[in-house]
Amino acid sequence: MSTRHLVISVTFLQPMCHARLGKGETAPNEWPPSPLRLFQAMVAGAAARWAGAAGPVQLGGITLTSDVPVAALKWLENLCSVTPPTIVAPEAAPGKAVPHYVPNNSGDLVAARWAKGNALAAFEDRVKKTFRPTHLLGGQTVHYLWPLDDVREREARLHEPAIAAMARSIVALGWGIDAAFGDARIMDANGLADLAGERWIPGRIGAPGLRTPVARTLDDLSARHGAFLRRLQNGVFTPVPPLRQFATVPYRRASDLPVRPFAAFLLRPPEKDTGYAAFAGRRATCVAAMLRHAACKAAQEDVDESPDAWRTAEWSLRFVAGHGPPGESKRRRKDDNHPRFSYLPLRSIGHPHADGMIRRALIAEPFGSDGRSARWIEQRLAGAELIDEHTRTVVARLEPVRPDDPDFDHVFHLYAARSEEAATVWTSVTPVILPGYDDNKRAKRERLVLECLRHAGIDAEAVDSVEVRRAAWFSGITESLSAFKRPCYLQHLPAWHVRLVFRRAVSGPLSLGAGRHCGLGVLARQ
Amino acid sequence: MSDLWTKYDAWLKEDGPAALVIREYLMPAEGPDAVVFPPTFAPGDGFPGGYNIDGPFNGHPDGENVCLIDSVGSQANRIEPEFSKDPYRSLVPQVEIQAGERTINLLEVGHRAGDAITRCTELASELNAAFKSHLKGDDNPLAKIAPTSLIFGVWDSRETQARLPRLVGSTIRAFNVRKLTRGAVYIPPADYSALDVFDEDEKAKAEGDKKNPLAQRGFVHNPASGTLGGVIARGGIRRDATLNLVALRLLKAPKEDDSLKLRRYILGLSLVAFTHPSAFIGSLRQGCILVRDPARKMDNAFVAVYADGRRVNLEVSHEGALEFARAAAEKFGVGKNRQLTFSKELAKKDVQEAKSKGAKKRKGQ
Repeated sequence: MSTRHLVISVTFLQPMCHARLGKGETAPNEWPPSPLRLFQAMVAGAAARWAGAAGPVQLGGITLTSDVPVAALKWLENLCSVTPPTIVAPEAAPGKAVPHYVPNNSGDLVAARWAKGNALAAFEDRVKKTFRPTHLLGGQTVHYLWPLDDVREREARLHEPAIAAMARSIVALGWGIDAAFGDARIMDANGLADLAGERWIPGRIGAPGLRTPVARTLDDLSARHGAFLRRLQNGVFTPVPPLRQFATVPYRRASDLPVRPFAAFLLRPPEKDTGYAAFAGRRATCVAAMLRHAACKAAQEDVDESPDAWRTAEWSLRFVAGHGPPGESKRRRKDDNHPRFSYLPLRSIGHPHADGMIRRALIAEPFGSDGRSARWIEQRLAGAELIDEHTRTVVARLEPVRPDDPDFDHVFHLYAARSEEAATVWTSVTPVILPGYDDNKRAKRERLVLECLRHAGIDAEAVDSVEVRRAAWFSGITESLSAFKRPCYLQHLPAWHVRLVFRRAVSGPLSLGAGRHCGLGVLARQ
Repeated sequence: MSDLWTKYDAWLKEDGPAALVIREYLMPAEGPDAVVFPPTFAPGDGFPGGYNIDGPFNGHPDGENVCLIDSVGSQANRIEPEFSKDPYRSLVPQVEIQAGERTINLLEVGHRAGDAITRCTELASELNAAFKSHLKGDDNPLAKIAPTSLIFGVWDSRETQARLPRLVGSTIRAFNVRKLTRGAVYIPPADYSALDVFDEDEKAKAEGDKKNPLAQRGFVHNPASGTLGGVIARGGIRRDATLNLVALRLLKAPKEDDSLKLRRYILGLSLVAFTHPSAFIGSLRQGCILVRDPARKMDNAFVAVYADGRRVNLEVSHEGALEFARAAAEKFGVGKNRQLTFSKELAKKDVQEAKSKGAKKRKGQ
């Protein structure tokens, strides 16, 4: 991990920002302000500071010539294109869109009416401008962080005075009324912990993305500014071309879970199209094993060895079957976080008479995956049979169901909620197997639960609190922890029921612990 | 005098504060729990019309919702014309434009020095040159004609496209407000149906129908219920004002000495505007008379905020600001007062030029 970071901070003078993601009146608010917006504010600051300067400018004992800020901005745009910054921004909430009617700049027409003798003529020509501020709820400073390796750090040290001078020349970020001031410095990792706010991580799928500068953004901005100044030259309006040199990078709060693609199935009886095949809740791992077996069989049949193929033999072994790397033991090492399917049998819960039996299942990709494997398995396992390991008989048939189907019912929504049903409180329905011995000590247990979160791809920042106990929270789940069947390699590890309270509502599906891929540690929203 | 320069020049240095911030708690003149009337906004874009109340917010430090009492633009429009009155009028040039029987001061014009009205006076070419000078890094010419344009921001949208950022921003907001409604009935002075102006059926039909001509003309009872009745600000009312010293330090003249004089002059005027009580004391609109809240005097703040986050308490009175502004204006040399006449000929010429150039452009295409 990099120990040094370039940090540019911008503080709003009022607790709001009016930046938008587009030009239209209905464009959504932009929060946090994009790296490109920061870059533009720095360019404007530099232009104002160096405008008309014939010679070097003295700043805090350092002499800067006009070549220096240009070189620094070029370096910064390249840095952004390689490493978009992490953004630490205060929590914020959008306000209402309120149309204001502001005077149009047509005072000459009113004055002409006065000159004609109509002394009562008023400034009636108004234009609509819709205000929809983003209210800052926990502070007024936004920080942009770039990690620096040794080479980048040397370059950053070279450009630091110019970058700091430009950051300190920022006068607004967003609209003109969003007055702000900036600062820049190189900080070590210890200092970053003191930066208050929510962390926005680049490159994690989220909507919508933020614009970031790339190589030649400065040149494009310069050309656009020139065109803007000439747009009404000699009284003739010439449209200003839009900015083209930028990239759009997906950003997501560290406390938000990325989307987790999944395929959903109803477990039908082997010979019928209606009703359900039901399995006892304590047999969750057995149902998961049958699902995995069906998936592996389908994957082996569908292996594609063409050069651009993604359904390779390795994908079949590692992603679908969950094995270790080729040539090694089938069992994965503890630190092997290669992506793989999780097979999640779902217990019928959420109703006073629900019996906790398994009638449905999900097969989920890891958080933030592209979803192509889920789409494949949904199609490939349609009508596939689940075969009992011991009796070798068909015990169920899989019927895929899409989230927008009526059959994607209340029980499915408890495990994979629609966006409007997303919840902050999730509790385990099958026991969570801790990835180590807790020695019956609370502190150790909590540490192991945090480790479970990390293994499951859930940022600890996303979780507000964790509760662990022996009894399940759902009323219909009465089995003791030891009643649940487990594969041999998990039998020696401690099992608990877990309740997670997230900072923000999440949709699922969620599974936690060492058995998270084989039906144990499945969570439902409360 | 040197003490005065020393005190304020520290704010103009590169390592000086980034901004000055005032937070001042206000209350309705009738008392802290009285009803106050915020501005109303027309419906549109999904907004039903009425008060601008944002929220409820979880975790807002000042309360569950925020109500706009006076916007940045409104505050600027209240403060700027004060420079046309004593004792401030000598601090800035008084530019008055005569059009027919009407006379308007440039301080009252919506778009300040960038307003289209100036294009049809003998000031047009001088202002054009001043904006061009700004683009080349010299703000002195504009400060000699319209210094308040440098304080409240300006955009020469009709000519050079030069933009200067706002230095002083002020907003008044109320927190944690409870919205009230009110009802009223208009009662006609006579029963017109009894006077045979119209019959009972027409009367029954018209009552309560605001669009009915009888109701609109005041011939029948006209109830109005559920209309806006003001708000009670349970979380208080606060004026947040900022003076952006970073933007002020970007103002310049060709010579360093002149830059300092210019920045002192604009700082003086900004401080006068920033601390001027006209922004909030008195009647903002019908039903909205605000005064300082003595119970929250200790919560008021006047601080210098530095780029590294430091906040240093300041004590600057309006009188102190005025004293500094006078001294700085004298050193800078306030631009001359002007009496201008709106020229119909220039206006016609301007329109004609625009038309002919537009035609040429179309022909060229």
